[in-house]
Amino acid sequence: MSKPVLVDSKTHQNVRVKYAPSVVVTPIGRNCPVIVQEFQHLAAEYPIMITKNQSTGRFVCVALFGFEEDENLFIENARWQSSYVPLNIQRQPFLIGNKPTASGKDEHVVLLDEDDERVGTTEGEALFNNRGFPTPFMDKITSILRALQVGYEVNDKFIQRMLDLDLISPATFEIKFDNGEEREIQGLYTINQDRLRALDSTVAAELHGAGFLEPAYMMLASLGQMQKLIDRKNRVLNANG
Amino acid sequence: MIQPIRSVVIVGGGTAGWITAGTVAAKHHAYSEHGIKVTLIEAPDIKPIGVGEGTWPTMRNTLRAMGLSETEFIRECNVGFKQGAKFAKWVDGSDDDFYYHPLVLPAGFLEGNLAPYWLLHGQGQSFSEAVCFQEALCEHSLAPKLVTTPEYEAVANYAYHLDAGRFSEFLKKHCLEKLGVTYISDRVTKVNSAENGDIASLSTEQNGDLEGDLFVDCTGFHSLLLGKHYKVPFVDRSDVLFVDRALAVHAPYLNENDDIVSHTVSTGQEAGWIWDIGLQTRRGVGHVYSTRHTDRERAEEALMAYLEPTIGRSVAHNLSVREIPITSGHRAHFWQNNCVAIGLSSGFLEPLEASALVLVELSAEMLAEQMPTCRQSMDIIAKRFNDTFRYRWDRIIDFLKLHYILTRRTDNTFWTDNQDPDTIPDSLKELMELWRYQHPWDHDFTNRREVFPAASYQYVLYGMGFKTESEHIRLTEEEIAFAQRNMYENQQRIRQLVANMPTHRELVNKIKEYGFQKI
Repeated sequence: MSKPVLVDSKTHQNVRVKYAPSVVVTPIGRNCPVIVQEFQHLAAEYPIMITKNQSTGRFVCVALFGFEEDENLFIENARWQSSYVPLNIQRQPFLIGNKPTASGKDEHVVLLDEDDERVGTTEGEALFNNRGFPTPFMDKITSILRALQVGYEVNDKFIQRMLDLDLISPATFEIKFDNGEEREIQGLYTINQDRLRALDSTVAAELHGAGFLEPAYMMLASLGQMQKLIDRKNRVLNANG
Repeated sequence: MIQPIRSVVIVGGGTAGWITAGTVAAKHHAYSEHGIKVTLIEAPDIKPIGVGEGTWPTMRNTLRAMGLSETEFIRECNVGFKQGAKFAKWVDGSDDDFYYHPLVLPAGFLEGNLAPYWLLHGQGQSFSEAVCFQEALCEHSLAPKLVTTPEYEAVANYAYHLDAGRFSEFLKKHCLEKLGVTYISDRVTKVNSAENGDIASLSTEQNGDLEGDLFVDCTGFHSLLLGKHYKVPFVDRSDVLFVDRALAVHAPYLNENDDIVSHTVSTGQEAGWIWDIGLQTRRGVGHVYSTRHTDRERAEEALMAYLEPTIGRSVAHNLSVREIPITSGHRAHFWQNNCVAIGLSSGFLEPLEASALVLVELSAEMLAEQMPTCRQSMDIIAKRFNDTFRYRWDRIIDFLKLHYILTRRTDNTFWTDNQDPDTIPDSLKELMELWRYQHPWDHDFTNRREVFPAASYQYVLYGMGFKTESEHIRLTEEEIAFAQRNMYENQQRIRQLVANMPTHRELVNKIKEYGFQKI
């Protein structure tokens, strides 16, 4: 079990990270949490769905990569086969932590998973320069983590507003693969297109103002990627069969 | 002149009153000018009796129909999940004597009957264990659903254990804030009759005369309108069901995070039985017994002896014990003129299969669904209502009696008296004769007013060790394959659920922190 540590210019003065987001090191399952701000990039590659966090039951936005629990159809030979990798993958091996402060309010801090095989002292990107200042690489990581932090808060507001307006519906897919196997994919939700279209114009304007109308439509548009995901699965099945 | 039904007045604000108010108000849009006005009057200083802390799975639909959030209900009414009942010491009274009446139907029940195969070949396992996965969830104190399961939906069929006092408050708030029910806190001093014998109005201490088109008596044991005013006779059924007294306590958990048992435990005693239900912050425990077969002192000793192993002697003996008299029986009819009784005012039976609240729900539902449009059609609806509920009371009494008649206990005449044929209703005797030769099945219960399905009779009969004659019964290859497949799949399901379901306590904690989603 890895234990992430607080990134610090003294402790990590000589630490380097072999950073290449498209190279897969840690296993990535059939989905990962994504944020509203990256929907536009995601929608061109993956179905963006809503699902429930297994331990809290709360709704989260995810990009879908496969159908089985550990299946990721976008990874071949340990590389992402897509032009956009979600921020939640790009951030690795860094993550956001919370540190209590004197004021009682948590402060967000940058953590590093030192057990990750990308972390070392010889190869890759340095985190700090000789004078102890963050390198451009570290600045980039910090900005990804900040975007995710802000993004999760926006996501929660987006989902709550969609729920309040009764715009989220279960999305059940009945899929038949080339090998004859039929699967009913459950536990996924999406925006209800009919109800979204039928919104009263003042509510629609309010959603637009809040920046929620665009992601709602992008989620719907991304459903077109579902067929491509099935095609990927069939390619794997045919190759193995 | 047609006299339309525009206004319903409910007297009494316990769970019966508020379930009725909420069900009628939601169905008939009490908040709307064109709906039916619903008024509930409750005397300011009457304490609800607070019995009826176990429900049926029907409660999920009752709450949903009122537009209530299950998350809020669970948070505010100290709710625990109930996945059926475990009957301990009913067969022979020994320490390992128990059987389950789970809420999940036997495997494959909608397609076929597993009882014949089980009786012939399934003897290593109890009936409930062989055909149903729920007993395993109960034995491990596991939850019937996940935090990701939507409100009111289930992985394993479930009902609730709840705090009746808090439940009334919870329903009241919703009825007043969301459903447009009018509330009057006042005492009814007089019932004023119209010429045709209907109730024209109720005089009150401070609010003058309260008029209405239909009056619902939810005044509990007082039965103010149906019993006292209309003098509808009480049909005493204590010749069939002997229990006539309850001693009830609230027992604490010793640790905040102790397991919550996820079923009702009913443990047979010398002259009655003890109920034990798990809420979030306490248990509700009570001894119901027959004063013809034991006395209060012995009954209280038995209750203490039951409690001591879990909470210790000193805690047990410091609990305040509430004594509640029970007269088993019901009114001869329930709807007279423009007055219908719902809840304890219509009758009461020992709480063996949680019949109190389900009868309230069924009555409120039928009243709401078949609400007469006008006075002219009311008597016909009333007759239908009376026939339906008389039938239901009789079936419930049969089913409760069934729990007693197969016992092998002889430690007190309470148990042997229960087997005296003179105390067994003819309708039950006839079914028992039938089931000697064939297994209970749906066609034994074809009436749409039925309360307990054939599955419930199977669980209790075979749980009590009853044997249907099987020598003459031949099973086809297809029937054998069907039974084997279902029983095998049931065992698979048990392994899968026991490995994956959260504990009851874990789920309750998650509901408090995160809640369920509606979808």
